[in-house]
Amino acid sequence: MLSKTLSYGLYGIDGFPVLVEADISNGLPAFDIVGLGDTAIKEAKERVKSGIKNSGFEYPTNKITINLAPADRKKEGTLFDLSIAVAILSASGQVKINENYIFIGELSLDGTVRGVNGVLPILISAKSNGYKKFIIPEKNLKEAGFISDIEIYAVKNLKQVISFLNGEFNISTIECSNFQDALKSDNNISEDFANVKGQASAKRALEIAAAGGHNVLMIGPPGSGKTMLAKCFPTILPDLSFEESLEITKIHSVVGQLDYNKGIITKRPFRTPHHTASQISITGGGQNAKPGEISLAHNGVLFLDEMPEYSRQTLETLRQPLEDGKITVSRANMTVTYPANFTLIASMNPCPCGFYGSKNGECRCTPAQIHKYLSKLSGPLMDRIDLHIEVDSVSFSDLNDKTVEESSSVIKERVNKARDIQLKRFFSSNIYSNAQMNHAQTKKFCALSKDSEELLETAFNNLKLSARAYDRILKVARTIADLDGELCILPQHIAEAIQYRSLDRKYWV
Amino acid sequence: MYTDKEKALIWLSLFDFLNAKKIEDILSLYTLPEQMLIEIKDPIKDIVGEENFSKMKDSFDINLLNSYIRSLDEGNIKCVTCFSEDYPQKLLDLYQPPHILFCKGDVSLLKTKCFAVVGSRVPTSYGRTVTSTFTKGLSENGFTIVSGLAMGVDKIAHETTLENGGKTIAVLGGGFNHIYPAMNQNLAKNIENNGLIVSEYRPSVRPSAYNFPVRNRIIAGLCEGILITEAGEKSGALHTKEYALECGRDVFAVPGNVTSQKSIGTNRLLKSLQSALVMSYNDILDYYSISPIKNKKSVKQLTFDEQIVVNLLKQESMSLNDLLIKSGMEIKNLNSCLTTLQINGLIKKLPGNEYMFSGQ
Repeated sequence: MLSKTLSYGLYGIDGFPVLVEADISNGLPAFDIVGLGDTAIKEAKERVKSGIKNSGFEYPTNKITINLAPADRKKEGTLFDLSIAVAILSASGQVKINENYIFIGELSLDGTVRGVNGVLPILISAKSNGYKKFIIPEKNLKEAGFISDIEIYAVKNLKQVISFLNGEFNISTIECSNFQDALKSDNNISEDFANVKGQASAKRALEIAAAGGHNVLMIGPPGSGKTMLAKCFPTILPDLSFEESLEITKIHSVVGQLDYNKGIITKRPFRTPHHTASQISITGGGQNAKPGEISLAHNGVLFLDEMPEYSRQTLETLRQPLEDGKITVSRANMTVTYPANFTLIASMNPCPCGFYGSKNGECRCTPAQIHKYLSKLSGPLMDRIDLHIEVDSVSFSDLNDKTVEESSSVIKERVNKARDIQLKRFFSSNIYSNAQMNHAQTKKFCALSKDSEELLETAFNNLKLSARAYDRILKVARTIADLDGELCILPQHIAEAIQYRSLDRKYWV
Repeated sequence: MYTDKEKALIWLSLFDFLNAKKIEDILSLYTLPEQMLIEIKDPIKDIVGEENFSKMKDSFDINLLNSYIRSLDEGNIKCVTCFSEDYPQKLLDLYQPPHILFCKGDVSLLKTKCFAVVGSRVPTSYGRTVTSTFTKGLSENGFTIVSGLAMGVDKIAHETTLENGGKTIAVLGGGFNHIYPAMNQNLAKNIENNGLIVSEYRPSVRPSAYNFPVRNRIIAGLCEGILITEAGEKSGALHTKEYALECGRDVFAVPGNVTSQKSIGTNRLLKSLQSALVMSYNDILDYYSISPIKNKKSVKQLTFDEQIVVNLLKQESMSLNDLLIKSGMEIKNLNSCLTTLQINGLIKKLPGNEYMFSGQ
């Protein structure tokens, strides 16, 4: 009276196979689940019991023991419900399992199979482990459709599963969805640079940032459109590739932020955690080491509005992920590495009241207040932000202007071209954008002509730039040259790059 | 190195409870100040009180005083007392001239032709512009610029002078060991090397709110005139003005926008006819009958684009957006243009993304 079914558990954004063993033996009626399950798994008893009963099957009135192997590994979630139910029914002889199916799904009391989080990462891991056949909730059908070369059966309820396994009912495997179609179908217009009036300099800087993968800090008085500009930023980033999209979807699937109707994420994520967000919510963590905002922003944009308002500690935790593109979250239970390759866009006011240097209002902050405000941004953090731009407040005439602004798609084309140049340049190295160059690579790829070098030197002397600006300027100049399609960095590229280092300039306070 | 007279004053500077008035009272008890090093007269008790008097008596030790002077020497601090040759006589115009000045840097600057530039600690961009252009003009024409090493106008005045190779004096409201605000630490170092920092207080004295208005009298006393570029209703610069008027110095003020909070102080000054209205540094030079030096900077050939930008900025300072619209240039070209012009010193960037013409 022993039966085994297969299921999959989640560890971070990867899955691991779980063997569900059910044993029905003589004794007083009891139901025990062993194998380090969390509360959700302990409660599966009730769901499974009612689910079996209400689907018209017989619930064995014997002693039932369920073991989730490997038994020394912690497991969580409701996705084992289905496999437990099938194992019990198989142990009691009501169904025969002939093949190696992997069962994933939560059971409702009436026997319906409900959708669960993390189906996509499970399918990806299971596929690479050589598993071929899956039974998943119908609700997760869309996200599963993007994995090819495996047999996936989407089911509605427990009854369907059992009749399918007994060969009384045929479910066809789901059809593979096409990523390109999904990309195209997702064309609801959200933000567009065409809707942003004026702000030419900020737009230009964001174009450079998109082209070179640079992080940006926008400084400007309240109401100058910093947030709007940031929201438009993802629209000029290059289209997602299928692999990138899967990476994003995996993370979102694990935390249950995936839209069941879409199945896959086709837009670069734009995450805007509020400045009261805790350090853990930004980096990821908690008892089960869940991914945080920076991982959810993977391959997209993390927008920190009013950057100095974030706690110092929170900001400093961004340093390592900004460098490595990933974050390792360690907890007592588990240590997980999540990808966190995002573009940081931050915005801030020039001073606490917001009007320092503005024409529209008078600043009433004391110098000490301004200094304190600015010193929230530590040197090492500023080192990772290549572009600082000042955003002016917008006048009414600008807003009322009837001229047609460049649309995001036009800018995107230029960005794509510049990205192609970079991909070719970094073909042999393991980076793909100018922003990721290390010091040695900067030296190699940003060689300056004599003119450019002279210009940079006089600029450093006359404009009192700080030393940390040097590499940043070179990288940004490289991107500007790429946008121009130039092989060498010309003096005008350097000159433009210097414009984007306003915080290094000493006139500030 | 110091005479006994001077040593006596250095000794007196060790006591925080002595201000200029009390020191004067104590000195009047002695026919020769150097006697103080031999005998501490009992009537001092009436001036400083019993407790302080016993403190003074206890701490008196000529060896200790000598080692203190040595430590000052090691710190390159020079004491200019009212008995020394370096002491600027113009300070005696003050109601209570300082008896001792701790100096770091070029002491001879005290006797040069000085001019004070003071104003708000949080100037507007207008205040910044005005301060830097006036300071530049004045220092180029031979004035030593005196200010108080505070934030804002003071800082700009010092910095602009140093940038243009002029001489500047900073008068502190505390001892040298406690530069206030701490942000100006580097600036103080810079002034020490290329100018002079002066304080009435010994190096270990912490700055206190009370000391700042008091030091303003030294700024006023050192200068032929003072210029207030921008001052709000309760600006400290108005203290300096009081002292300046008291000791017969000329007071100049730059008018501001009547709607601006930051110009209420200066505008009121002008309205009450306490100061002369100046519109450019030439007005001040005219007043002192100084003919301005003609600047012979080699003119660099500007590109076509650069010329457009310069012509626009010559009319008025404007924001990047306005420049973009008025010049009709592409943003990338405009940006690189602005950098080269800034490097050449023809234009200047102001906070808030504004640019102004700063060349000749």
